[in-house]
Amino acid sequence: MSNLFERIGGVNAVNTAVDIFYRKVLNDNTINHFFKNIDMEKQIAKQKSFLTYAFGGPNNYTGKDMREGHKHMKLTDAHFDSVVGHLASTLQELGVAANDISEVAKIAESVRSDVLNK
Amino acid sequence: MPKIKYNQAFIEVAEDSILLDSLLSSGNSIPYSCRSGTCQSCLMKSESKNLPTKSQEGLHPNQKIQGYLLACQHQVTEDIEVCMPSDAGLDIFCNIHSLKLLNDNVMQVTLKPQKPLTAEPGQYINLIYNNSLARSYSIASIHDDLIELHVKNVKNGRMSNILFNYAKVGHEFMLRGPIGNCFYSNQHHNNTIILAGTGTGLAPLWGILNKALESNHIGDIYLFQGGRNLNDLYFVKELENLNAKHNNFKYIKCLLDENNPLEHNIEKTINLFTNKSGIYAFFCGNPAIVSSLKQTIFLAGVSSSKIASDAFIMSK
Repeated sequence: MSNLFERIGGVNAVNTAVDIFYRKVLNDNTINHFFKNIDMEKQIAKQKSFLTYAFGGPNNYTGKDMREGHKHMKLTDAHFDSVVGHLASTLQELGVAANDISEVAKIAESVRSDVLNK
Repeated sequence: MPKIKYNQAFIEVAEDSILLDSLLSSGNSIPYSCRSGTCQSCLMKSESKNLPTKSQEGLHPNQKIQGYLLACQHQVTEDIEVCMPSDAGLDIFCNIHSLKLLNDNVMQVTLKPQKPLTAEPGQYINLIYNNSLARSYSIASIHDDLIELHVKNVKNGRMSNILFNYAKVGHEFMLRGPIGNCFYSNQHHNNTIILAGTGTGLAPLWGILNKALESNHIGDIYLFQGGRNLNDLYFVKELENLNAKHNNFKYIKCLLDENNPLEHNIEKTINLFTNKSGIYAFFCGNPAIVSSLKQTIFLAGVSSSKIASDAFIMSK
Protein backbone atom coordinates (compact mmCIF):
# COMPACT_ATOMS: atom_id res chain seq x y z
CA MET A 1 0.00 0.00 0.00
CA SER A 2 1.51 3.34 -1.06
CA ASN A 3 1.68 6.16 1.45
CA LEU A 4 -0.54 9.23 1.55
CA PHE A 5 1.92 11.53 -0.27
CA GLU A 6 2.26 9.09 -3.19
CA ARG A 7 -1.49 8.45 -3.37
CA ILE A 8 -2.24 12.17 -3.67
CA GLY A 9 0.34 12.54 -6.43
CA GLY A 10 3.55 13.71 -4.77
CA VAL A 11 5.41 16.84 -5.83
CA ASN A 12 3.28 17.30 -8.96
CA ALA A 13 0.12 17.37 -6.84
CA VAL A 14 1.70 20.00 -4.57
CA ASN A 15 2.55 22.18 -7.58
CA THR A 16 -0.98 21.89 -8.98
CA ALA A 17 -2.72 22.27 -5.65
CA VAL A 18 -0.78 25.33 -4.53
CA ASP A 19 -2.28 27.65 -7.17
CA ILE A 20 -5.85 26.45 -6.60
CA PHE A 21 -5.43 26.63 -2.83
CA TYR A 22 -3.79 30.06 -2.79
CA ARG A 23 -6.45 31.49 -5.16
CA LYS A 24 -9.15 30.32 -2.76
CA VAL A 25 -7.33 31.95 0.14
CA LEU A 26 -6.89 35.26 -1.74
CA ASN A 27 -10.56 35.28 -2.72
CA ASP A 28 -11.74 34.74 0.87
CA ASN A 29 -12.59 38.15 2.36
CA THR A 30 -12.39 36.83 5.91
CA ILE A 31 -8.65 36.09 5.58
CA ASN A 32 -7.23 37.73 2.46
CA HIS A 33 -6.23 40.93 4.28
CA PHE A 34 -3.44 38.91 5.94
CA PHE A 35 -1.90 38.42 2.49
CA LYS A 36 -2.32 41.93 1.17
CA ASN A 37 1.26 43.17 1.12
CA ILE A 38 2.91 39.79 1.01
CA ASP A 39 5.33 38.86 -1.74
CA MET A 40 3.56 36.24 -3.83
CA GLU A 41 6.66 34.24 -4.75
CA LYS A 42 7.80 33.83 -1.15
CA GLN A 43 4.26 33.03 -0.05
CA ILE A 44 3.79 30.38 -2.74
CA ALA A 45 7.09 28.79 -1.68
CA LYS A 46 5.86 28.66 1.93
CA GLN A 47 2.49 27.25 0.88
CA LYS A 48 4.25 24.52 -1.08
CA SER A 49 6.28 23.50 1.91
CA PHE A 50 3.11 23.50 4.05
CA LEU A 51 1.16 21.45 1.48
CA THR A 52 4.02 18.95 1.24
CA TYR A 53 3.85 18.55 5.00
CA ALA A 54 0.04 18.28 5.03
CA PHE A 55 0.11 15.70 2.24
CA GLY A 56 2.37 13.54 4.40
CA GLY A 57 5.50 14.21 2.34
CA PRO A 58 9.09 14.99 3.29
CA ASN A 59 9.09 18.34 5.04
CA ASN A 60 11.25 21.10 6.44
CA TYR A 61 8.42 22.54 8.46
CA THR A 62 8.93 22.89 12.18
CA GLY A 63 6.53 23.94 14.92
CA LYS A 64 8.92 26.79 15.74
CA ASP A 65 8.64 28.23 12.19
CA MET A 66 4.87 27.98 12.43
CA ARG A 67 4.79 29.73 15.78
CA GLU A 68 7.25 32.48 14.82
CA GLY A 69 5.65 33.11 11.44
CA HIS A 70 2.14 33.61 12.77
CA LYS A 71 2.90 35.17 16.15
CA HIS A 72 1.88 38.77 15.43
CA MET A 73 -1.19 38.03 13.35
CA LYS A 74 -3.80 37.62 16.11
CA LEU A 75 -5.35 34.63 14.36
CA THR A 76 -8.49 32.90 15.63
CA ASP A 77 -9.89 29.39 15.27
CA ALA A 78 -12.24 30.73 12.59
CA HIS A 79 -9.29 31.88 10.46
CA PHE A 80 -7.61 28.52 10.85
CA ASP A 81 -10.84 26.67 9.99
CA SER A 82 -11.21 28.71 6.78
CA VAL A 83 -7.73 27.75 5.59
CA VAL A 84 -8.26 24.06 6.36
CA GLY A 85 -11.61 24.29 4.55
CA HIS A 86 -9.90 25.70 1.43
CA LEU A 87 -7.35 22.92 1.61
CA ALA A 88 -10.08 20.25 1.71
CA SER A 89 -12.05 21.78 -1.16
CA THR A 90 -8.85 22.08 -3.23
CA LEU A 91 -8.27 18.37 -2.83
CA GLN A 92 -11.90 17.62 -3.69
CA GLU A 93 -11.47 19.57 -6.92
CA LEU A 94 -8.40 17.51 -7.71
CA GLY A 95 -10.36 14.30 -7.19
CA VAL A 96 -8.53 13.09 -4.10
CA ALA A 97 -10.35 10.29 -2.23
CA ALA A 98 -12.43 11.30 0.78
CA ASN A 99 -10.47 9.25 3.31
CA ASP A 100 -7.19 10.74 2.05
CA ILE A 101 -8.65 14.24 2.42
CA SER A 102 -9.55 13.54 6.02
CA GLU A 103 -6.03 12.26 6.64
CA VAL A 104 -4.64 15.54 5.24
CA ALA A 105 -7.08 17.51 7.40
CA LYS A 106 -5.83 15.60 10.44
CA ILE A 107 -2.18 16.53 9.68
CA ALA A 108 -3.17 20.17 9.09
CA GLU A 109 -5.07 20.08 12.39
CA SER A 110 -1.86 19.12 14.20
CA VAL A 111 -0.36 22.60 13.60
CA ARG A 112 -3.40 24.49 14.94
CA SER A 113 -1.92 25.21 18.37
CA ASP A 114 1.38 26.42 16.84
CA VAL A 115 -0.35 28.70 14.32
CA LEU A 116 -2.69 30.15 16.93
CA ASN A 117 0.07 30.40 19.54
CA LYS A 118 -1.85 28.39 22.11
CA MET B 1 32.17 38.58 21.15
CA PRO B 2 32.58 37.30 17.57
CA LYS B 3 35.21 38.82 15.29
CA ILE B 4 35.05 39.80 11.61
CA LYS B 5 38.26 39.60 9.61
CA TYR B 6 38.22 41.94 6.62
CA ASN B 7 41.06 43.58 4.74
CA GLN B 8 43.69 42.26 7.16
CA ALA B 9 41.94 43.82 10.15
CA PHE B 10 39.86 42.29 12.94
CA ILE B 11 36.63 43.91 14.03
CA GLU B 12 35.03 42.77 17.26
CA VAL B 13 31.24 43.02 17.17
CA ALA B 14 28.27 42.31 19.41
CA GLU B 15 26.69 38.93 18.79
CA ASP B 16 23.97 38.97 16.08
CA SER B 17 25.26 42.22 14.56
CA ILE B 18 24.55 42.63 10.88
CA LEU B 19 27.75 42.12 8.90
CA LEU B 20 27.14 45.07 6.55
CA ASP B 21 26.40 47.49 9.41
CA SER B 22 29.49 46.37 11.35
CA LEU B 23 31.77 46.82 8.34
CA LEU B 24 30.32 50.24 7.48
CA SER B 25 30.42 51.56 11.06
CA SER B 26 34.05 50.54 11.41
CA GLY B 27 34.90 52.80 8.47
CA ASN B 28 34.98 50.33 5.58
CA SER B 29 33.55 51.24 2.23
CA ILE B 30 31.20 48.47 1.11
CA PRO B 31 28.79 48.78 -1.83
CA TYR B 32 25.15 48.23 -0.85
CA SER B 33 21.74 49.44 -1.92
CA CYS B 34 18.42 47.84 -0.89
CA ARG B 35 19.43 46.41 2.50
CA SER B 36 16.72 43.81 2.13
CA GLY B 37 18.56 40.91 0.54
CA THR B 38 17.23 41.56 -2.95
CA CYS B 39 19.61 43.68 -5.01
CA GLN B 40 22.71 41.63 -4.13
CA SER B 41 25.00 44.66 -4.35
CA CYS B 42 26.45 43.89 -0.89
CA LEU B 43 27.65 40.48 -2.08
CA MET B 44 30.76 39.27 -0.24
CA LYS B 45 32.69 36.04 -0.09
CA SER B 46 33.70 34.00 2.94
CA GLU B 47 35.56 30.77 3.50
CA SER B 48 32.93 29.54 5.98
CA LYS B 49 31.28 26.30 5.00
CA ASN B 50 28.12 26.57 7.10
CA LEU B 51 26.51 29.87 6.28
CA PRO B 52 22.93 30.47 7.48
CA THR B 53 20.28 30.03 4.74
CA LYS B 54 19.18 33.64 5.16
CA SER B 55 22.66 34.99 4.34
CA GLN B 56 22.59 33.26 0.93
CA GLU B 57 18.92 33.49 -0.04
CA GLY B 58 18.44 34.18 -3.74
CA LEU B 59 22.06 33.46 -4.70
CA HIS B 60 22.96 31.06 -7.49
CA PRO B 61 23.69 27.51 -6.23
CA ASN B 62 27.28 27.86 -7.50
CA GLN B 63 27.73 31.03 -5.48
CA LYS B 64 26.31 29.33 -2.40
CA ILE B 65 28.84 26.51 -2.64
CA GLN B 66 31.66 29.02 -3.03
CA GLY B 67 30.73 30.82 0.19
CA TYR B 68 29.20 33.99 -1.23
CA LEU B 69 26.82 35.80 1.09
CA LEU B 70 24.78 38.99 1.33
CA ALA B 71 26.33 41.25 3.97
CA CYS B 72 23.02 42.99 4.73
CA GLN B 73 21.42 39.65 5.62
CA HIS B 74 24.24 38.01 7.56
CA GLN B 75 24.03 38.02 11.36
CA VAL B 76 27.43 37.55 12.93
CA THR B 77 27.15 34.74 15.46
CA GLU B 78 30.69 33.40 15.17
CA ASP B 79 34.07 34.52 13.79
CA ILE B 80 34.00 35.09 10.04
CA GLU B 81 36.52 36.19 7.42
CA VAL B 82 35.11 37.98 4.37
CA CYS B 83 36.44 39.60 1.21
CA MET B 84 34.97 41.59 -1.65
CA PRO B 85 33.84 39.69 -4.78
CA SER B 86 36.28 41.87 -6.77
CA ASP B 87 39.09 40.18 -4.83
CA ALA B 88 37.55 36.89 -5.93
CA GLY B 89 37.50 37.96 -9.59
CA LEU B 90 33.76 38.35 -9.98
CA ASP B 91 33.58 41.98 -11.10
CA ILE B 92 34.17 43.27 -14.60
CA PHE B 93 35.46 46.74 -15.37
CA CYS B 94 33.52 48.62 -18.03
CA ASN B 95 33.58 52.01 -19.72
CA ILE B 96 30.76 54.31 -20.65
CA HIS B 97 30.21 54.03 -24.39
CA SER B 98 27.33 56.48 -24.80
CA LEU B 99 24.88 58.63 -22.82
CA LYS B 100 21.58 59.79 -24.26
CA LEU B 101 18.45 61.28 -22.69
CA LEU B 102 15.31 59.29 -23.60
CA ASN B 103 12.92 61.73 -21.90
CA ASP B 104 13.10 64.37 -19.16
CA ASN B 105 14.23 61.93 -16.53
CA VAL B 106 15.47 58.75 -18.19
CA MET B 107 19.01 58.35 -19.51
CA GLN B 108 20.09 55.60 -21.85
CA VAL B 109 23.53 54.47 -20.74
CA THR B 110 25.52 52.00 -22.80
CA LEU B 111 28.54 50.32 -21.30
CA LYS B 112 31.40 48.44 -22.86
CA PRO B 113 32.69 45.72 -20.53
CA GLN B 114 36.47 45.12 -20.65
CA LYS B 115 35.76 41.36 -20.61
CA PRO B 116 32.75 39.73 -22.31
CA LEU B 117 29.72 39.45 -20.05
CA THR B 118 27.27 36.60 -20.57
CA ALA B 119 23.80 37.86 -19.76
CA GLU B 120 20.21 37.85 -21.01
CA PRO B 121 18.31 41.09 -21.67
CA GLY B 122 15.87 41.49 -18.76
CA GLN B 123 18.33 40.32 -16.12
CA TYR B 124 20.00 43.00 -14.03
CA ILE B 125 23.52 43.97 -13.09
CA ASN B 126 24.96 45.97 -10.24
CA LEU B 127 26.79 49.03 -11.39
CA ILE B 128 29.53 49.99 -8.96
CA TYR B 129 31.20 53.39 -8.82
CA ASN B 130 34.44 54.05 -7.02
CA ASN B 131 34.29 50.66 -5.28
CA SER B 132 31.68 51.95 -2.86
CA LEU B 133 28.45 53.04 -4.50
CA ALA B 134 26.27 50.33 -6.07
CA ARG B 135 22.90 50.39 -7.80
CA SER B 136 21.00 47.73 -9.72
CA TYR B 137 19.95 48.33 -13.33
CA SER B 138 18.16 46.05 -15.76
CA ILE B 139 19.72 45.15 -19.09
CA ALA B 140 17.60 46.63 -21.89
CA SER B 141 19.80 45.13 -24.59
CA ILE B 142 23.12 43.43 -25.07
CA HIS B 143 24.55 43.68 -28.59
CA ASP B 144 28.10 43.68 -29.92
CA ASP B 145 29.39 43.53 -26.35
CA LEU B 146 27.52 46.72 -25.47
CA ILE B 147 25.15 46.72 -22.54
CA GLU B 148 22.25 49.14 -22.57
CA LEU B 149 20.69 50.41 -19.32
CA HIS B 150 17.88 52.92 -18.69
CA VAL B 151 18.65 55.09 -15.69
CA LYS B 152 15.96 57.12 -13.98
CA ASN B 153 16.97 60.46 -12.51
CA VAL B 154 16.10 59.85 -8.87
CA LYS B 155 15.71 62.89 -6.61
CA ASN B 156 18.79 62.93 -4.35
CA GLY B 157 19.86 59.68 -6.02
CA ARG B 158 23.63 59.38 -5.72
CA MET B 159 24.28 57.14 -8.71
CA SER B 160 21.80 58.88 -11.01
CA ASN B 161 23.32 62.23 -10.04
CA ILE B 162 26.72 60.94 -11.16
CA LEU B 163 25.37 59.51 -14.41
CA PHE B 164 23.23 62.55 -15.28
CA ASN B 165 25.63 65.29 -14.26
CA TYR B 166 29.20 64.07 -14.20
CA ALA B 167 29.68 60.91 -16.22
CA LYS B 168 31.40 61.19 -19.59
CA VAL B 169 32.04 58.74 -22.39
CA GLY B 170 35.05 56.61 -21.43
CA HIS B 171 34.59 56.84 -17.64
CA GLU B 172 35.24 53.59 -15.83
CA PHE B 173 32.73 51.76 -13.65
CA MET B 174 32.52 48.19 -12.41
CA LEU B 175 29.85 45.64 -13.27
CA ARG B 176 28.70 42.68 -11.24
CA GLY B 177 26.15 40.13 -12.32
CA PRO B 178 23.97 39.24 -14.13
CA ILE B 179 21.22 38.41 -11.65
CA GLY B 180 17.55 37.52 -12.00
CA ASN B 181 15.18 35.23 -13.85
CA CYS B 182 13.19 37.85 -15.74
CA PHE B 183 14.19 36.98 -19.30
CA TYR B 184 12.91 35.35 -22.49
CA SER B 185 13.59 31.69 -23.05
CA ASN B 186 12.79 29.50 -26.04
CA GLN B 187 10.38 27.48 -23.94
CA HIS B 188 8.05 30.51 -24.20
CA HIS B 189 8.07 30.30 -28.00
CA ASN B 190 4.40 29.47 -28.59
CA ASN B 191 2.99 31.16 -25.51
CA THR B 192 1.12 34.39 -25.10
CA ILE B 193 3.40 36.85 -23.36
CA ILE B 194 2.15 39.74 -21.25
CA LEU B 195 4.70 42.43 -20.42
CA ALA B 196 3.79 45.31 -18.14
CA GLY B 197 5.53 47.99 -16.15
CA THR B 198 5.97 51.63 -15.27
CA GLY B 199 8.92 53.99 -15.55
CA THR B 200 12.24 52.34 -16.31
CA GLY B 201 10.50 49.01 -15.68
CA LEU B 202 10.37 49.27 -19.46
CA ALA B 203 14.11 48.46 -19.69
CA PRO B 204 13.86 44.72 -18.91
CA LEU B 205 10.53 44.51 -20.79
CA TRP B 206 12.15 46.10 -23.84
CA GLY B 207 14.92 43.52 -23.56
CA ILE B 208 12.49 40.61 -23.30
CA LEU B 209 10.35 41.95 -26.15
CA ASN B 210 13.22 42.36 -28.57
CA LYS B 211 14.71 39.02 -27.68
CA ALA B 212 11.30 37.40 -28.34
CA LEU B 213 10.87 39.17 -31.69
CA GLU B 214 14.44 38.34 -32.75
CA SER B 215 13.75 34.69 -31.84
CA ASN B 216 10.71 34.76 -34.19
CA HIS B 217 8.32 34.27 -31.32
CA ILE B 218 5.12 32.53 -32.47
CA GLY B 219 2.60 33.48 -29.76
CA ASP B 220 1.08 36.91 -29.20
CA ILE B 221 2.96 39.53 -27.19
CA TYR B 222 1.28 42.39 -25.34
CA LEU B 223 3.26 45.22 -23.80
CA PHE B 224 1.51 47.56 -21.35
CA GLN B 225 3.47 50.70 -20.60
CA GLY B 226 2.04 52.71 -17.72
CA GLY B 227 2.68 56.29 -16.69
CA ARG B 228 0.78 59.19 -15.15
CA ASN B 229 1.11 61.22 -18.34
CA LEU B 230 2.78 61.04 -21.74
CA ASN B 231 5.95 62.66 -20.35
CA ASP B 232 6.41 59.63 -18.09
CA LEU B 233 6.71 57.35 -21.11
CA TYR B 234 9.66 56.83 -23.42
CA PHE B 235 10.46 54.68 -26.47
CA VAL B 236 6.86 55.34 -27.58
CA LYS B 237 7.81 55.80 -31.26
CA GLU B 238 10.02 52.71 -31.21
CA LEU B 239 7.24 50.62 -29.64
CA GLU B 240 4.65 51.94 -32.10
CA ASN B 241 6.97 51.00 -34.96
CA LEU B 242 7.36 47.47 -33.65
CA ASN B 243 3.58 47.29 -33.21
CA ALA B 244 3.15 48.22 -36.88
CA LYS B 245 5.83 45.81 -38.05
CA HIS B 246 4.86 42.65 -36.14
CA ASN B 247 1.40 41.12 -36.40
CA ASN B 248 1.77 39.28 -33.13
CA PHE B 249 2.87 42.30 -31.09
CA LYS B 250 0.49 44.78 -29.53
CA TYR B 251 1.66 47.88 -27.66
CA ILE B 252 -0.76 49.40 -25.18
CA LYS B 253 -0.02 52.83 -23.69
CA CYS B 254 -1.79 53.31 -20.37
CA LEU B 255 -2.19 56.72 -18.78
CA LEU B 256 -2.83 55.80 -15.20
CA ASP B 257 -4.97 57.31 -12.48
CA GLU B 258 -7.12 55.94 -9.65
CA ASN B 259 -9.89 54.98 -12.05
CA ASN B 260 -7.57 53.46 -14.60
CA PRO B 261 -4.86 51.39 -12.92
CA LEU B 262 -2.63 49.13 -14.99
CA GLU B 263 -4.45 46.13 -13.46
CA HIS B 264 -7.72 47.01 -15.26
CA ASN B 265 -6.01 47.22 -18.64
CA ILE B 266 -4.39 43.85 -18.18
CA GLU B 267 -7.52 42.16 -16.81
CA LYS B 268 -9.44 43.30 -19.89
CA THR B 269 -6.91 41.61 -22.16
CA ILE B 270 -6.55 38.47 -20.02
CA ASN B 271 -10.28 37.95 -19.95
CA LEU B 272 -10.30 37.59 -23.73
CA PHE B 273 -8.54 34.26 -23.27
CA THR B 274 -10.64 31.24 -22.38
CA ASN B 275 -7.56 29.15 -21.71
CA LYS B 276 -5.10 31.00 -19.52
CA SER B 277 -2.67 28.15 -19.04
CA GLY B 278 -0.52 29.29 -21.98
CA ILE B 279 0.13 32.80 -20.69
CA TYR B 280 3.50 33.96 -19.40
CA ALA B 281 3.71 37.30 -17.62
CA PHE B 282 6.62 39.62 -16.85
CA PHE B 283 6.13 42.64 -14.57
CA CYS B 284 8.81 45.20 -13.78
CA GLY B 285 9.21 48.55 -12.05
CA ASN B 286 7.43 50.10 -9.07
CA PRO B 287 7.27 47.39 -6.34
CA ALA B 288 3.69 48.12 -5.22
CA ILE B 289 2.41 47.99 -8.81
CA VAL B 290 4.42 44.85 -9.59
CA SER B 291 3.09 43.08 -6.50
CA SER B 292 -0.49 44.04 -7.30
CA LEU B 293 -0.16 43.04 -10.97
CA LYS B 294 1.15 39.63 -9.94
CA GLN B 295 -1.84 39.04 -7.71
CA THR B 296 -4.29 40.30 -10.32
CA ILE B 297 -3.02 38.06 -13.06
CA PHE B 298 -2.71 35.07 -10.72
CA LEU B 299 -6.34 35.48 -9.61
CA ALA B 300 -7.34 35.81 -13.27
CA GLY B 301 -6.04 32.27 -13.73
CA VAL B 302 -2.40 32.51 -14.81
CA SER B 303 -0.19 29.88 -13.19
CA SER B 304 2.12 31.19 -10.44
CA SER B 305 5.03 29.40 -12.08
CA LYS B 306 4.53 31.49 -15.23
CA ILE B 307 4.73 34.90 -13.57
CA ALA B 308 8.19 36.48 -13.48
CA SER B 309 8.87 39.88 -12.02
CA ASP B 310 11.49 42.39 -11.09
CA ALA B 311 10.44 44.94 -8.51
CA PHE B 312 12.74 47.97 -8.46
CA ILE B 313 13.45 48.41 -4.78
CA MET B 314 14.80 51.84 -3.86
CA SER B 315 18.13 51.99 -2.07
CA LYS B 316 18.15 52.62 1.68
